[in-house]
Amino acid sequence: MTVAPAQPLASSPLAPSAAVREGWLILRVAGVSTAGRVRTLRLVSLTGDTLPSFTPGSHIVVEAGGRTNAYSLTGDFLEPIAYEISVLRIPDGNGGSRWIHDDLDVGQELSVSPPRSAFPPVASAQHHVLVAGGIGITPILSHIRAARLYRRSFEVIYAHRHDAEVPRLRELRALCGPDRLELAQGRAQVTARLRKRLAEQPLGSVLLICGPGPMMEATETIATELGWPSQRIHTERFSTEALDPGSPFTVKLARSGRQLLVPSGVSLLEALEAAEVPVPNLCRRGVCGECRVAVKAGRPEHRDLFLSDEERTANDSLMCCVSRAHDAVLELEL
Amino acid sequence: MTVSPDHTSVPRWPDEPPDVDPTGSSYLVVSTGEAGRAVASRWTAAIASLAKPLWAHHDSGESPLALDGLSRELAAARVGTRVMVAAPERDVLDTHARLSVGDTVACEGCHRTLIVYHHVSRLHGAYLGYMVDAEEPTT
Repeated sequence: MTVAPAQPLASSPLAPSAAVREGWLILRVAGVSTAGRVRTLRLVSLTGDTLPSFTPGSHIVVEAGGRTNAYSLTGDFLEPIAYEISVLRIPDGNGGSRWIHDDLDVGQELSVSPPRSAFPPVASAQHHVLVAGGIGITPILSHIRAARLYRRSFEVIYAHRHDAEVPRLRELRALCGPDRLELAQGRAQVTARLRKRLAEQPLGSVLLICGPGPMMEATETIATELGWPSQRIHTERFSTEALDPGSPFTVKLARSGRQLLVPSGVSLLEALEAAEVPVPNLCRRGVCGECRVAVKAGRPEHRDLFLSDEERTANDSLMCCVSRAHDAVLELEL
Repeated sequence: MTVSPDHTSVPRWPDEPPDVDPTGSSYLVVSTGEAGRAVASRWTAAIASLAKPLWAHHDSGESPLALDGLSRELAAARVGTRVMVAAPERDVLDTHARLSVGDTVACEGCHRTLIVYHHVSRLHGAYLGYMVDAEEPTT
C-alpha cells in the first residue's frame, strides 16, 4: 500500500531521525533492490534485535525525505529480523517515493511508526480470496505467508497492466505454488477471471482486495452482483480522491462547552488544532483511523475510508481529518 | 436475569424476524414449529417474487431437526447464498451446546466450573460461559 498524505504533517522534522516521535522506531536500511519502478527495502533494528511482530496486512508509516507515507509490510510477521516494504515510484506524488528511490541508500537510518493493522485476515474464514492489483500485492504477500503458516485455504488473483513489470512475481510464485495463483492482464481478462472465481467460492469465504481505486471498485461490484455480503469484502485503499471543501458548520465540544466554527475549505482536524484541542492523527486523509473522535449529537458527513458501513450508520464517531457534518451543529466528546 | 438493559453486552435478539435480503444469489430456508412455519412462508413468498433459487425445509419441531438435507445443501452452496432459519433461538443454541443457560459445566481444559450465560460467541454460534465460583477461596 502506498498512502501518500495530501500534505506533510506539521510536526514532520525535515532531517531524518533528528527527532523520534513517541513510540516510533529508528531502523537501518540493510538492503535495497530495484526492479523497474518498484524499490524494495529491508529495514533492521540498530541493535540486531528482532522487530515487533505484526498482524498480516499491516503497514508502517515511514518518514521519507520530510514526508510521511504508509507502506505495507511484505515480509515475515512473527518476531521478524527485518521489515520489508516495496515502494512504487510515483513521479508526481508528494516526493516521498522519489526520495526513497533516489536518495536512500544502504546503511541510512529511517524513522518508522510501529506496525498498524487495518487490513487483517479473518480468523474464522473457510477460505481467503486475495485479489491484488499492481503494487497492491504488498499487503497480500504477508497474508499469503500467514495462510501458509497456519495452513489456511487461500487463492490469489493478481491483476497487472500489459506494459508494466509485475512486482514481486518470482517470490509470489514460490509462495503460492502452481495452483493458488492466477495472473490476469488487462481489464477484460481481470473481469472475466473475477466473474468466474467469485461465483465458485464455498460458504465462509472472504474476499480481500488491494489495488488501484477503479480496479477495487470493479471487483467489489462484481462480488456484490454475485451476492457477496459487504461484511465478507475487505478492502485496503491506496489514497483518497481530492475532496470538495465542504460547507461550514459549528462544532460543540461537550467537555469544555466551547464552540468552534469550521469554515469551508478547513478540515475539522485543522479547526480543532487551531483552537489548541489536540487530537492524535497521522495520515490526515481518512485512511489510518488515528483521528477518530466520538460524536455526541448531530449527523456526521463521513468522507473517510476507514469506518465500516455499520460504524458509519451508527453515527457515533467520525474521522475528523476529512469528515464534516450534515447538520449545522456537531457535538463531539472532546 | 438482573442485568441493566442499557449497559449489558448480552446480545439483544431482534423482536421481529428480519426481511429477506434481496441481494442474495440463492436461498436456503429452514424452519421448525408452527411459528417457524409462518415466518418461513413469508420468506419463501418474498424469495419467489425475486425469482431466485430456493431450497426450503420444515420440521414439526417435536423431534430433533433432520439436518442431512441442509448439510448437503450447505456443502454445495457458494458465497452469495443466504441461509435463513426460523426456530426458537434457545432451541437452536441449546441443541448446539447440549446445555441450557444457567447450567454449570467443567471446562475441558482447566476444569474450572463454568456457568453457561446469555452471551454468545459469534465465532462458534454458541453460548459462552464464565467461572462461576471465581470469588470462592480455592480449596
